[in-house]
Amino acid sequence: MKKKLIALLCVTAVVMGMTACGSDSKENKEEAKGEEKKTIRLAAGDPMKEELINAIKGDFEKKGYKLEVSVIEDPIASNNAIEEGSLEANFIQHNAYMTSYNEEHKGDLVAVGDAIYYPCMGVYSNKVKDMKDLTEGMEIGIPRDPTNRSRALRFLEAEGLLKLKEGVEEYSQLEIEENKLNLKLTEVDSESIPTILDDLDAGICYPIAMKEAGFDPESALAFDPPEIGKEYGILIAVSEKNKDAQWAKDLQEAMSEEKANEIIMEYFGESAVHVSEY
Amino acid sequence: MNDPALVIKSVMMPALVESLYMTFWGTVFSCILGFGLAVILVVTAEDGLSPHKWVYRLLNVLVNTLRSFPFIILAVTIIPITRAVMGTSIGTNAALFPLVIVACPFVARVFEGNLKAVTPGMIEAAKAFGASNMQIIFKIMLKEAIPVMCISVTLVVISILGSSSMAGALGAGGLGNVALIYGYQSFNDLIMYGTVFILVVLVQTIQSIGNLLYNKLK
Repeated sequence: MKKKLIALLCVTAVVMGMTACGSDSKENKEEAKGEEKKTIRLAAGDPMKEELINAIKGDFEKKGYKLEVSVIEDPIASNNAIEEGSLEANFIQHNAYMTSYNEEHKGDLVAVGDAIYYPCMGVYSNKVKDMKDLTEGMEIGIPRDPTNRSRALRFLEAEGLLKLKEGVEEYSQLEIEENKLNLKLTEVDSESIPTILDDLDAGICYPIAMKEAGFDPESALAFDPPEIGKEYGILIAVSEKNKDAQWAKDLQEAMSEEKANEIIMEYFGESAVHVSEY
Repeated sequence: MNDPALVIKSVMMPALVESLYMTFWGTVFSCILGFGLAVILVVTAEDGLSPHKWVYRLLNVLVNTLRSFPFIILAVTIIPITRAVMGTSIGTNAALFPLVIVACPFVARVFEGNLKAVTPGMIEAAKAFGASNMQIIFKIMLKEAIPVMCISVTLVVISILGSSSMAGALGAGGLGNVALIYGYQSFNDLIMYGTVFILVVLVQTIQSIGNLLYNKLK
């Protein structure tokens, strides 16, 4: 008898919990349908972006909104959240990534406007001082995630060190046709590259990773050229239906203010980032 | 998206070899070191053959502390040590260092349990016959515990296989890395679930071998 009572209590608790969850998301959906969106939920891709958003939060909220900022590091989860209605916008990705997400997940994400900033990708090294000093058989660390790996490989091609197959959208090491110096390209987590530079001859990563590891983001041997860089600007993404919403435009404006640009330039260093269209 | 056949041949097969390499050597080294730790723990315990309170306590704390670290956290925390010991902090060989450090405490605990489960009566009888501690440990306890230790080793192998899936973050490759990068991040379900399937087959095989050994040896 006692066992049956406990079992019944557990089942009741679970059912009540599930109903509560259900009604919660229903409330959000009702608010989402409303014409005047007041509470904007924005997910940043990392703490640095979160800081940037918080810096302009006051100016944005003056226009009558409430901004809820969170950090979601996984871009797939972050994009899925917009698609399912748990977020209004995110600030995490560049156009190349967003496009590939839309293709594979039948998503409808669009950028509100131009990218907020364009981080350059740099070749950093603790062992060589110049790109010309890269010699036969050296080991270069590159990001292992698909979009940034592709950018690193295109960067190496632009520096004349690799030749890649033509007409490919996203490059991996399988599309390398020629590796003039027989460089060993080791794929690692791009955030780890600054810490392991002593184990490599050079590493290709973003200035933000160098900065967060305590190194100088502007100390690159080279940055990738604007022709490549302009595709990788970090933008504010929203669902297609909100593209022309007033709040979206206001958010874009707040993030493009001079104050925001100054923060970005100070954080990365002027040579490592672009804040306006190339 | 990459052509699946090419990915299977050029990425998954090498990754399978990397995973097996890390799992095999990780198991060998952690079992040797872990067994040593387990013997010390069993012997110096209060009810052991040669109680030494402080040695036991210290070792206990060490084992518990190391067990608390998730593999990838430990791996990045000890990068300078790995570099000093292995010469580099990236690649399959370098990954063995944190893998073994994380697995040792786990091995020590399971082997400790196996050794302690040997019937106290047998140990008492051996003592009565005038057996030395070394003889008791290796001829009685180890011999009796070997069948269950096979089951334990099976657990260890599968656990190390799991830890090694994170080793890709530091350039060690492996199947976990393939599933994450070429599967999930490249939006390729075929590769992601295909890799999972290979892992399921591997684990099943390892478990079956363990069970077979247990039945043959008991």
